[in-house]
Amino acid sequence: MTDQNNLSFEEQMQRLEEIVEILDDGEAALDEMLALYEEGMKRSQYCREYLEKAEQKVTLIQNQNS
Amino acid sequence: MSNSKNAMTVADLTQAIGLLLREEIGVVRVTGEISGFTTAASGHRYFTLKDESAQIDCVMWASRTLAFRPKSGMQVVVQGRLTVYANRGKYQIDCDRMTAAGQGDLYLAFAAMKEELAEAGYFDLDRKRNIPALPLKIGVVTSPTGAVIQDILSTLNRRSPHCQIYLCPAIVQGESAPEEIAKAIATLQATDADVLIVGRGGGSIEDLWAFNTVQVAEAIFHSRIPIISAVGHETDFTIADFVADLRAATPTAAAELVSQCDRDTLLQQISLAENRLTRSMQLEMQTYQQRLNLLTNSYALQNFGDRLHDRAQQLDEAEQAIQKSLVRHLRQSTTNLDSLSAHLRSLYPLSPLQRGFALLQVGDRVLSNDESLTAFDKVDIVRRLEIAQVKIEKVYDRPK
Repeated sequence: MTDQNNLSFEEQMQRLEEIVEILDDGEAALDEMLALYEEGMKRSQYCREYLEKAEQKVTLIQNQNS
Repeated sequence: MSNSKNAMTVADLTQAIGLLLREEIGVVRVTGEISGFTTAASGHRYFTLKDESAQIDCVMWASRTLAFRPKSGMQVVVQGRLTVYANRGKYQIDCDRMTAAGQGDLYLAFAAMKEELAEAGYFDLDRKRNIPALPLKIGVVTSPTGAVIQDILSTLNRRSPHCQIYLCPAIVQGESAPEEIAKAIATLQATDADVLIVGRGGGSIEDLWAFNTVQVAEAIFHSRIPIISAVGHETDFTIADFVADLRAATPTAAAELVSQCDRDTLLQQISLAENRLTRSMQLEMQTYQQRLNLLTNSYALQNFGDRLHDRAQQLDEAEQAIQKSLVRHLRQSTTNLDSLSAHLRSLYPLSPLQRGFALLQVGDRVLSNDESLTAFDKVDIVRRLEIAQVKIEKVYDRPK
């Protein structure tokens, strides 16, 4: 999924919420729903892995010309 | 021994100095700017009175009344006696009265700068940006040593360990502080930080002064990344607080603000979303499965063969029915034809001649019943086998 890289973590979470809403409504056509389901699961997996794998990382950035 | 016999004790000298000061100078009225004003737990107030080139310690006992709340930076006039505090060997003014004498220069300069920045739109509420709800990369400008950075790091690590931190160290107190803080903010602009925390721990208003400078205000104003100011001072707002997009009372509070969605909550949210996704998908599939079952079990599909036979039978029956009705029709038609032709025959104009009746004819024309014979002088009487030509002598009405 290339677009996962373009969305921020926050946007990914928002998109996930959006997909859940659509599926909850159950108004979409079946093939559309399947595609959304797949997308939703991929996004949730991505977010979960991101949270679980990430550990606090402190990068020291030196003040320029000081 | 004799040397030490002639020598004064420190206490004696100090007492002598105290006497001298009291008697020679006595009660004074002095004007100056308050600095380092503190009120001890006992209620006694200690401060320094200063101007550009000198300073003197002052004390004002809790028993002395004050008509206003003195603050560092204020220009005041104090009245009191000059005394010596023997324990520390220093002289000080024991103030009886203190009155505000307009505001101090430092304060005035600060007020003027604040007004200028306000006019330039630095404090405008509508330019304040929202702090991202889920920041992943957090820039921090503060002292690299001390409790503040540790508090920020531990708060973030506890709540949002997935956050990445860009620490740009800066001296936050003293002459070089404003420039260092401003540069650190500028340096962090090159990173992909979602939000910046700029701050330091608590201290006197002098300690926090860097956060009241134009340099820091401008750096915050020009930051493209939203900034949370975190100058540890509950009561006083610094210029930095006014320019920043959000003010936190302490650095720890700032760290809490950027980690409102902690990791556990986020993971929970994700699990919840996954469950809802799966559940609604299952529900949807069930609905389709049911529809499919309903269709495959339907009478139409199940008894398709039977229905074909039914149709064939119906077809046969229809064929027979058609044949039957055709025959019936033919018969009926024949009967009709017979009766019609009989009828027709009975209507044949010459048929009465068979039964002995005769016709009257003029030329080729048969006279109708309506025509009177008075119009003719001769007619033909036509019978079955012969025609008689007769002359009419007289015509009269038939008696009724």
